[in-house]
Amino acid sequence: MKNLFITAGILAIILIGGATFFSVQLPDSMTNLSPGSVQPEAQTQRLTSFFLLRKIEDMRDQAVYLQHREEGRKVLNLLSVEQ
Amino acid sequence: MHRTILVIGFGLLIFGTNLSAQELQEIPPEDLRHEFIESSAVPAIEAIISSLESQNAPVPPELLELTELEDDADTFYALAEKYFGLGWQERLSSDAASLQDPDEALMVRTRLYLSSLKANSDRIAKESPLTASEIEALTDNLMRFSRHVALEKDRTKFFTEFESVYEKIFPEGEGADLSDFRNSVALLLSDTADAIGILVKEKKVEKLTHELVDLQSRLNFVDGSQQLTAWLALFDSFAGKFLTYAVPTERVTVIKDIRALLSNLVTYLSSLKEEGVNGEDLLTESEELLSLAEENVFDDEEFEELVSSTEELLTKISEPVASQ
Repeated sequence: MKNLFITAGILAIILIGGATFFSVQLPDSMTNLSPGSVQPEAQTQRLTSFFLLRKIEDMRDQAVYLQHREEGRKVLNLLSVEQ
Repeated sequence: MHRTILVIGFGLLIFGTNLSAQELQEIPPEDLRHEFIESSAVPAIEAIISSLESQNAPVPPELLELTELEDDADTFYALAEKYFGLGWQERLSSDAASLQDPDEALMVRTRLYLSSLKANSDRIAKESPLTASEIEALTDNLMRFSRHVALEKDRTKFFTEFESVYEKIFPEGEGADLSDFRNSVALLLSDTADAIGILVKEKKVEKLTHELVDLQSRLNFVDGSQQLTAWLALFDSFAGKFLTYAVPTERVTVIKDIRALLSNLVTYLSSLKEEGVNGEDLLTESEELLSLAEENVFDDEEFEELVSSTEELLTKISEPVASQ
């Protein structure tokens, strides 16, 4: 995901409505969820949070992989100098 | 006479030994553990952390966590044993004592690296071709080997073995490029800063905001791959804390929200199609995903597929907007 807030914006457009997408006016049906459902703003916020936290978790795992890959390479270099 | 002196001496020795044992028995084990943590373990860990920092080496978050656990002996002992393995007390002290010798300091750094590799094997296995248990077995062997490296020929053999293990866990060309990752993580931190108020529990917002700003500031001053490697350990520690304090969303709610999103998206893309706007591929993809989302029961794999595919679809939709 290149920029989560662009996605959040898209989510807001899709769920909340009141804006244009592909330069076309949103149909009224999109701005109203079924009766009894939660507010679309809350849905947007929840999904945005969910995807962002998922991204943090994913990048944290990548960071650990990269950290150990780089530190391992450095330790190998130092050990080879010592040889 | 000699025999008498010997008997008295022996008696005193026994008495003295008994007294020491009695005295020791009177000290509660909890106090002994606190005494050991305060006077030996934490100073040893602090010396190791200083040594790593002076080499610009990553400081494992577990070491920092241990220094904050001085008052909680049970948790301290549990974490130290989990991280360093059985017999950690003696090894920790001897590692700290050997830091003055550059050769030994390198072996201490190597062993800490191996401990960290093992402790994070589950997460490293997500990117590595090896499983977590394979990584653990390989690092256990290397760790045992590292404790018996005394002669020059042992060091050569250890180096060859280390290199072979490293290449299995981190094959050449695998994983992200370090500078690309730096750009992505900087963007992620910026997004996180904007949304921190809705992401974590209210009482933790201030503390985590402060840590986030500090992390961003440190990243700005990172120069070179070695400093960036050390910074990644800080990011790992911060992200771990952040996820601990995150406001969770139940799976059932996520599915419901994705369903509503896809349903509205299908309606919208259908209306675009009627108006002659090209979006056929996105519409087909959205319809397929909506059909998947409308299933009633999700196992872990299906849930992951739904979420990943939705994320990919949103990325595709956002691309034309992002490039405008």
